[in-house]
Amino acid sequence: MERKASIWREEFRRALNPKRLGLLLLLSAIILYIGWTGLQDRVPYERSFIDNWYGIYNDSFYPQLLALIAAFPFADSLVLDRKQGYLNQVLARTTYRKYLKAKAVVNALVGGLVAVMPLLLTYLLSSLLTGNPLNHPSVDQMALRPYSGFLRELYFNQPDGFIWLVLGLCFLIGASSASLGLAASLLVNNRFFALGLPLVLFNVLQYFAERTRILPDFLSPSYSLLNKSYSDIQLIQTPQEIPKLFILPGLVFLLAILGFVFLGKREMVTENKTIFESFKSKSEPKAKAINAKVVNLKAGKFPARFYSLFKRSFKPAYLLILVLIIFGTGFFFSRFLSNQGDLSLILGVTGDNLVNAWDVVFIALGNPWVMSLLIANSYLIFVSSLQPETGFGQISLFRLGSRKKNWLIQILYLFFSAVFYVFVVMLGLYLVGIINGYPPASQWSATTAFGGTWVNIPHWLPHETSLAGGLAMIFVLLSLGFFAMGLMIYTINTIVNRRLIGYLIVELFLLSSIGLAHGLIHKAAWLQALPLIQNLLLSLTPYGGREIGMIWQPYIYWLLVLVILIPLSLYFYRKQDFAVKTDEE
Amino acid sequence: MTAQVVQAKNICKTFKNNAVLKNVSFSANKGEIIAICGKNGSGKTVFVRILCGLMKADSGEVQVFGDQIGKNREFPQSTGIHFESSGLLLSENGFENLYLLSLINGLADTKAIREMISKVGLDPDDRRPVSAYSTGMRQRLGIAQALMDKPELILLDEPVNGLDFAGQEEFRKLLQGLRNEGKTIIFTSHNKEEIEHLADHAYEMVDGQLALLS
Repeated sequence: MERKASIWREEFRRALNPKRLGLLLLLSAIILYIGWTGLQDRVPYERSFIDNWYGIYNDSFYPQLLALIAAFPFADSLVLDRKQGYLNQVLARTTYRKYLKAKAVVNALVGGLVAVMPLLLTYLLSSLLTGNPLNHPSVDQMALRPYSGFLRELYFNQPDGFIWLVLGLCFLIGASSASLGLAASLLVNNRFFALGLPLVLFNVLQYFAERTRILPDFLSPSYSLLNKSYSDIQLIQTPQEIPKLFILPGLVFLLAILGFVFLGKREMVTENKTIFESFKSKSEPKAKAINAKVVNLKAGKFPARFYSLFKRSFKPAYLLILVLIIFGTGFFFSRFLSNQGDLSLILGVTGDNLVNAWDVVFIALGNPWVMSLLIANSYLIFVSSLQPETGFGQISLFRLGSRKKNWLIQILYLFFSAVFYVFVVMLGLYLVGIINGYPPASQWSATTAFGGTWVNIPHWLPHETSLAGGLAMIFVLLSLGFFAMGLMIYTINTIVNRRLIGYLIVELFLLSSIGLAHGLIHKAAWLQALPLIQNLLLSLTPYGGREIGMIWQPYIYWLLVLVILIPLSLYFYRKQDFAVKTDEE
Repeated sequence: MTAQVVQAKNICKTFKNNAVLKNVSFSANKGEIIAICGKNGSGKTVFVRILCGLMKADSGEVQVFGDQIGKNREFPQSTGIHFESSGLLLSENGFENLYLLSLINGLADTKAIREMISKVGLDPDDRRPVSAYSTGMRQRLGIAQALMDKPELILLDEPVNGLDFAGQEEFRKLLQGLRNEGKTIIFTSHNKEEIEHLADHAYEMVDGQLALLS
């Protein structure tokens, strides 16, 4: 029987790629398991199936990552179609309008489905495995169920209805995030931009709507997702207020549609031009005398080779992302510190140097979530494209004539980029602290000197070392850790000969290590030291109690990782077959 | 007696149970233009990649200028390579691409780069990024990259793909000029007719083996 050819069928088939979906399901399972371990510790009472389901949903960071999860299956597909020339093949067989329409709808549907699927499975498992009765009063003492209002009624009387309401909202937020990612790729033709923009936008909205209260509540994603961890869902008292939950996904959909309408014109997409590029090519004369960027380096020597690698690996957009992360994190923690002003009164500490700008650095770099989701994550993204070699990289290697020398240059690039990145992040956070009114200082702040735990460092640190010593410890630790994790990505990508895979694996390990750290609290000391995140913080997570005699542990950990990975990466690099690669992947 | 520049003996290469090259032997002498043709996926590119050291043969040996590739040397000396996926940085202009590559081995100065870009019919002062180049322009720039160090051996993978008629004619003249200078050139193509008037000898890759055509 002849199959009915359709662009819809083709787009669905591509969007439901089993490898990507499998990876997402695994990631989601790990994230939700982290929620489960947190819930077990926090609410050790007779939880019903809905208590379990809603507890896992709230105690995991699934709602915070939902925008990324939804965008992951297909939001970057237009970038790939354009860069790989697949778009031309498609347009020889169907109209552009049909193609874009099918892609937009399929992307939204699959994004929504992917966002809901792990929660549906959790619902199924929770229903099958939980025998406790509904609404046990002991659970009511914990911050788990809605305290009052319409949602409490729904939770208690129609638990399945409550779950389906949350699932429906997750579907809408997922679909709108995926749509926004796809529309964003029309503005900037880059995969990371398409996948990351929804996540960044949702977190920015969360911050301004929920933390600073500059925006109305209904613009915070956690409000629309009925996520109790961050927003107060008691604000919804009556069924008439339910439509407010749909405002955010509605607005995001509208934004995406505007993107499709204004940026999705055929000539802009088929000619591989973003709005910026088309503007640039109009304004720039075609054959003006070139301002050759000839550098004052002796060709053929190490600095010139290093410069060549830097030029092909570093993208100016990285700086923009880095500045955004530093400012976002710095402002957030500066504000957080200002809210803690009363702490000095409680501690009975007085003087001019109660809190200083270095406290912003310590508290930001000691936070496991900020570390794994933002600071380490962005570094890993920056260095994830070193392997496998692009076409340009292969020609560079050929001209150099030695795999070992090329490997060495790349390893040194990883090392120096880690050191430079950590330096910029620390300096940036310090400057943002000063901008926010905290004094620059050359010694510990009075409040921190009293006990460092409140800025995420071990309590004994201010007594045992100077401020410069404490900063040096963090600087060396993070430089080593970032270098080692960059090398993990490098080695994995070299082995599998695929880009992105190494980054996804290492970031997954890093994120899941937070949950693992929770799960290993009562286990042997060496087991507790294994999760990656424990070795990026001077303190321990979740309870911050690293003893003075154990401070050497994370340094040894990273040195061991490096001792294993440096020869391993060289071994696989020397074995590698350089297949056909383009720089457009 | 003519000097042998390239010699490959009993090269085998298998990818996941698919034997792409089966005991391929081949030689090229100084000053020859040799073409290798074959269908898409027949193994031409893999063979050229093995000759230049970017891929490793499962068995057999390759000698270039007397050096055993993968043993005495990892990559052949005085050799220029260009592959169909041209290996250019799309965000940089043509000159910048070649300049960055020249920094690695220091064999071509800025004057030589500009001359070579002009020689392949491009403008060295063109400020547009390579992403704005047509396929043919990228091919020309890739060929300029392979030639800018004035190598003795030149390996080109599908060099005329995407070139217009005039471009092909210029390419033919370029090859003849290089042969007159005593350079050895090995190139691949999927078009038999195209190579007949370009090459001294032509081979066809069929079922993982090289057969002499002319």
